[in-house]
Amino acid sequence: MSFEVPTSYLLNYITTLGGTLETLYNIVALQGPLPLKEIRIRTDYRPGGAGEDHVKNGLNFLHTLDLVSLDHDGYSTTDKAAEGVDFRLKVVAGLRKASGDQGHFLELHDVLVREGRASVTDDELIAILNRKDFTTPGETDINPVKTGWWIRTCDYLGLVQQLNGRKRILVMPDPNLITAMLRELGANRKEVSVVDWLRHSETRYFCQLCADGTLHPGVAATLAELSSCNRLRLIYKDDAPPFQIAAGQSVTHLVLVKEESSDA
Amino acid sequence: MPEFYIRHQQLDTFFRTEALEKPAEVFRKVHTPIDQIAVDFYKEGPYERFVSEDQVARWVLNSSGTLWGNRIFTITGETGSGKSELCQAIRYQAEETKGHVPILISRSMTRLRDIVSLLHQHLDEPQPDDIGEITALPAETVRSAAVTECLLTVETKAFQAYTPEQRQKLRQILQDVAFGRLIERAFTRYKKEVVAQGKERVLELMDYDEFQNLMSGAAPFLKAAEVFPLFRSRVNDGMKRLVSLGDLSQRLRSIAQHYQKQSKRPVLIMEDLTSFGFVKEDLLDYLFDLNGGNFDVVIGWTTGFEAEQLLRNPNEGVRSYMMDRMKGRFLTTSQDTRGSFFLERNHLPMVARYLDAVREPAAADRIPDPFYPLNPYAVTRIYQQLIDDKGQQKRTPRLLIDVIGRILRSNVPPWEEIEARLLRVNLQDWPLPDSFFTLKQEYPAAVALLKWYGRPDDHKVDRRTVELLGVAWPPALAQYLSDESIWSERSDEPVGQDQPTKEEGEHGAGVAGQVAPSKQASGLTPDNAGGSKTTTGTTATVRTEPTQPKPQVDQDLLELQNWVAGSDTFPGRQKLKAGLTYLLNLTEDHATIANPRGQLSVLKYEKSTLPIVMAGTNDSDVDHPAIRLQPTREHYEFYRICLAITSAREAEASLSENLRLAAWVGSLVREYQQSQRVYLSTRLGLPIEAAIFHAYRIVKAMSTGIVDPAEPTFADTALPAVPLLNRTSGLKQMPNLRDLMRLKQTVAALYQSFFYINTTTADPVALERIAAGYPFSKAVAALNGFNKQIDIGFKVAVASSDTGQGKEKALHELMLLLRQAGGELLSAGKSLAPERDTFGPFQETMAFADGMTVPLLKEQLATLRGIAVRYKVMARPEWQSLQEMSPALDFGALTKRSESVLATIGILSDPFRLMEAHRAVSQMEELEAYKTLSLAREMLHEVEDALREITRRSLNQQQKFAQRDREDCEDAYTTLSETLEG
Repeated sequence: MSFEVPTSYLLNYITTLGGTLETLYNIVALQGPLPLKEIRIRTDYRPGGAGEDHVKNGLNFLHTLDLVSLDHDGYSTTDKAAEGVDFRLKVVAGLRKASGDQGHFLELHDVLVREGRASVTDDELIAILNRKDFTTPGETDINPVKTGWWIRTCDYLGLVQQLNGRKRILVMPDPNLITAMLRELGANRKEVSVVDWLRHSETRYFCQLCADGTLHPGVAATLAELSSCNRLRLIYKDDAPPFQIAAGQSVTHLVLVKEESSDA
Repeated sequence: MPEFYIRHQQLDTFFRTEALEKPAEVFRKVHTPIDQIAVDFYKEGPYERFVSEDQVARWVLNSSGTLWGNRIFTITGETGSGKSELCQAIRYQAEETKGHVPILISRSMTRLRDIVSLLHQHLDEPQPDDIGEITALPAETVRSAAVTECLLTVETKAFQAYTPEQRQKLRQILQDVAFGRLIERAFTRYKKEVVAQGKERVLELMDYDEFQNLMSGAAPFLKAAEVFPLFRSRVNDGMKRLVSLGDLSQRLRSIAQHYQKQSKRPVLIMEDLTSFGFVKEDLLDYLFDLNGGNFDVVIGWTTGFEAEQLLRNPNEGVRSYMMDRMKGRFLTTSQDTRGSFFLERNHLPMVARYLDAVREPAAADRIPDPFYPLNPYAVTRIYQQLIDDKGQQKRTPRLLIDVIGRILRSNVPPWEEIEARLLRVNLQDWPLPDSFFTLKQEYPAAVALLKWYGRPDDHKVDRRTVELLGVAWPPALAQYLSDESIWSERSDEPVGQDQPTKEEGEHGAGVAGQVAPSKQASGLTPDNAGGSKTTTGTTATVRTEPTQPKPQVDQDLLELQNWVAGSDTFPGRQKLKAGLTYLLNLTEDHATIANPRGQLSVLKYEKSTLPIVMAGTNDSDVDHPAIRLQPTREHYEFYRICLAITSAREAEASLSENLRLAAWVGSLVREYQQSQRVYLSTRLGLPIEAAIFHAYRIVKAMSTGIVDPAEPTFADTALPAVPLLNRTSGLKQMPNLRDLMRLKQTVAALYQSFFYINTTTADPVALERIAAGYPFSKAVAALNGFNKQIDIGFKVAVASSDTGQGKEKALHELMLLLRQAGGELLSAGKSLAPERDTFGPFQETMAFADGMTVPLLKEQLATLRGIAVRYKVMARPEWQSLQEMSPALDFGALTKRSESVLATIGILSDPFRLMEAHRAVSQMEELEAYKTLSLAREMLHEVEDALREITRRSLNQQQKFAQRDREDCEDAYTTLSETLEG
C-alpha cells in the first residue's frame, strides 16, 4: 500500500457521496488508526458489489484534502484539535487549502460568488469551467456527470442548494453552516464583527463577497432569514463598516441567539 | 429696506416662515399649481412619470359610491416640499366635487383633541369635552401607566410561548427602574417633538432601539422584534384611556357610515401622519384595512418618516403589505438630491406669484419684470444656493420662500442681503470676470448687484431695473448696463397670472438652464425624467410595477391582505398553498425522514397534499406536524409570491430570482422536518431511528439469530427466506411477531434508510449511537404508551414482496405491529422454559458425542447393524453413509463447541438469546461430525424402537417365541442400552 497522497483530481470523484465522506471520517476519528480492511468491515463493504470501491475512493478524497493521513497502522484523522468543528466546514477548509490543480473545486464556487450569481444551471457551470480564465485541470474532461457530482457535493457541504428535479442551483449557503462558522468565532458568547467573520470565511472557508465588496445575495438572504427565525441577531454600529443585507438594512456585527449557541 | 413697492404688512401673510395651513384666499393667491409630482406607482390606470396636482386630485377623487373600500394614496417628500400645498389643492378640488367630503388634518394640529374635534364636526354627535392632552400629563403618570400596560401585555396569550420563569424575569425587568427611565425618556422626547415645526417629528412613546438594547442584555430569550409591537400597541392603548381619547378608528368608522348614508365619500387628507402621535399606528391599521371604510385617503409623510416606517422597515412583509394596499405613491422631492421636482421647473413662476401677492397694486405697470425687486437670474441663483440648517443642499419651496421673505424683510437692499447671506457660490459653476474682484473693493454694492442679477453670458443688468431699484450706478461700471431688457420675454410670457400655463413652466426652466449650464449634473431633472424611468434610491427595490393583474388575482390578493390584517376568512388560500407546494417540492427531502447523511429515503409523506395550515382561517389546526403560516405582515411578500405561482417552472424562476424567498422556504422545510421528528419521537416515546432499529433487530434475529448490532454481518439486509423462527415452539405462534416477520423486507429497507449512506456503505456511527442508547426492553416500554396517533401520512415507499401489489405500509401500522410484536417477545422472555424442548434432539446428540471417537462409534455401529440384521429392522439408505465415516471427524471439538450453546439453552434469558442459540445449533448441524453423530443417534433410536416393539410383542405372544430368541433379544437390548448410556 502506498502512503502517498492520491493524485486523482477532485472533480473526478464522481461517485463519492458527501455522506460517505462524513461516515468514513467519523469512523476513523472515533476508532483510528484503522487499516482499510477494518474500515471496509465496519461500513459493510462487500467486494464485487456495485463495482465501485466507495470506501477506498472516499478515503482517498479525505486523504487528498489532508483530513486523514495514512501510515502502517492505517488511516488516522489529522487534526485532533479541531474536534467539534462541523465536518462540512472541515471539508470546505480542506478544499480551500487544496493548492495547484486541486484548487479548482472551490474555485468554481468562488466564481459564482464573486460574479454575484444568485443561481446557475448545469450548462452555465460547464461554460464557466471551460472558460479560459478558469484553471480547470488539463486532463479533466468537463461533462455533466462531473458538474452534477460537484453540485451534489456542494449541496451536501451547504455551499449551494440544488433544486429538486431541476438543472438549477441556488448559490446560497446553508444557514447551519453560517451559524457553525459564527460559533467557531465565539458569536455564541459575544458580538462578532461582520468584517472579522467575512475575513475568517474568505481565508479559511469560502467566498461570501461579490467582486464589488458587497455581500453575495445568497449570504444576505441567509442572514436575513436567520434573523427572522430569531437564530441570529443583526447589529448595526456606526463605527464599523456596514454590509447591506436588504434594502435599507445594513449590519456590522452578529451575535447568535441563545438557543442557537447551545445546540452544537 | 427701501420700499420697492412691497406691502410689508402683507409679508407675514404670504411669506410665512412656518408650515401652516394657508387660508383659502391666501392659498388661491400664491399657490402655483404643482405640475411636477413624481409617480412612483399608480395602480388604477396608466400613468406618466410626472403628473400635475390636478391629475393627482383626479386620481384620488376618481371614486364614487361606497363599494370601493378605503383607497390609499401617499405623498412622500422632504419637509417643506409642498406636500401640504398638494393636500390643500386636493382638498379644494374635493370641495368642488359633489360626491366627496374632504377632511383635512393639517400639520399644525398638534393636539389630538383638535383632531378629534375636527372629526366630530363631521358627525351629528356632540364632541367629548373630557379629552386630555398627553403632553400635559406628568411623566410619572405616563410611566406608571405604561409599565402597567407592559406588565399586562406579558399576561397575554402571545407570551405563553415563554416559560413561567422567563415571564417572571420579564415582569421584573418591566418593573425595574431602567425600564421606567426608558419610558420617561421617550415621553420627554415626545413632548418636544410634537410641537416641533419645519422638521421631522419622531413621536413614539417607546423607542425600539432602547427597548431592544435593554432586553438583549436583561432578557436574551425575548424575541424583541416580535414582542415590541405588542408592548407598543398596548402602551398606546393605555395612553388613549389616560387622555380619554377613545377609539379613533371607531370615530372614522362612524364618519364612513355617516357619509355612506348620503352616498358620499369622505376624503381624509393628512398633511403629516405624525400629527397623530402615538395613535398613528392605530390609524394606519384602520386605514390599511381596506374594508374598514370608504375613505379616499391621502397620507402625507416625510421622506425620513416613510423610510423609517416603510422602506427601511426590516420587515419586508410589512413593507410590501403597505405598498400593495396603496393605490398610488407620489413623490414631491427627489430622493437623490432632496430637491423638489416642481421647484426645479417652477421656482420662477412661484416666486413671481408670491412677489405679486405682496406688491403695491398700483406699481404693477411701472416695474420691469415680475421679480422686482429681484430679477429672474437672482431668483434662480438663490434657488440654486438653497441649503438646510445643516448645510445640506435642499431645494424646497418652503426654503425658497423663507429666503425670499427674509430678503424682503431685510433693511438692506436685496443684492446686499443676498451677498451677505448666500455666499456659498461655487465659482466654477458660475464664472465671474476677474475684474469683479478688484472692482468689488471700490463698489461692493454695485458688484454684488451684477453678481446676482447679471445676465450669465455678459453679466449685464437692465438700466431700467437699476434705476427702479434706486441704485446710484458708478460710471466705472457703465459697460454692464444694458438698455435692452434682459428679460425681454416678459411681455410674451404672462408670468404671475392666475392661470399659468404649461409653457410658462418650461420657459422658467429654460432661464434656469442659461444661468446654470451645469445643472444637468445635479441629478434628476424633469427633462430626462420624462423619457426614461429613473430609479430613485431605495424606492427601486420595492417598486410595484403598474401591471394590470387579472381580476381573480386581485380578489385573492385582497383576501390575502385581509387575512394578514386579521380576517379569519381566506377562501382563495388553496392557491397560496398550491404555489407554496410548488416551492417546497423544489427543495429536497421536505417529505421524507431518513439518515441526514444518507441517500436512501423510503419513509415518505404519501398524502396527496402537504399539510399546510394557515393560522386564523378555518383550516383545522391539527396538532400533527404541518407547515404553518402565520398571518404576519413580515411574510406577506412571500405569501403574495406563492399566490402567483401556478407551476414548477414559475416556482423555479421565483426562487432563482429571490434568494430571500428561497431562504424562507428553506426555513419552512427545516422547521417542518424538525417538527416531524419531534412529533414522532414524542408520540412513539423514542426516536424514530430507535424504533426502526428495534424492528429490524427483531426481524433480523428471528430470521438469522444474529443479535449483536456490532457484529459486521448484522447490517447485512439480505434476510433468509425461511427464518429461524420456525424452529421455536412458542414464538412462531405469536401473531404479531409473525406479521412483523412478513414485513421483513420493508423493515430492512427502512433500516437501510436510517443506518446506511447508500446501499453499499453502512453508517456504523449512527447505529452505535442508537443501539447503545435504547436497549430493547426500554424501547418496548417506551412504545407501550403509543397508539395509532401517528397517522400523519408517512408510508414506507418500498416495492417489495412483503406487501405485494405495490401496497405500501403506513408507518403507523408498522409501529403498532412493532409495539405488539415487541410486547409478545418481552412476555415470551418470561417463560422460555418450554422452548428448551425444541433443543432436545441437539442435546441428545451432544450427549451422544461426549467421549466419542471414530473407532468407538464404528464399533458401536457394527453392533447395532448386527442387531438390526438379526431382528430384521429395515435399514435406511442414509445409514449407508455411516459406513464411509471419515477417520478425521473430531467429536471432541464438537463437544467443546457445544458447551456455550448448551449453557445458553440452560438459561435462555430472552428470545434473542433463544434465536442466537438456534442459530448456533443450525450452524453446528451443518458440520460433518454433527451430521454423523446425529445420523448414528437416529439409527440407534430406530433400532431401539424396533427392539422395544419386538420385546412387547414377544411378551404378549410368549408361546410363539422360542426361549432362545427371547434371550438373544434381551442381550441385544442390554447392549443397546449400554451403548446409549455410554
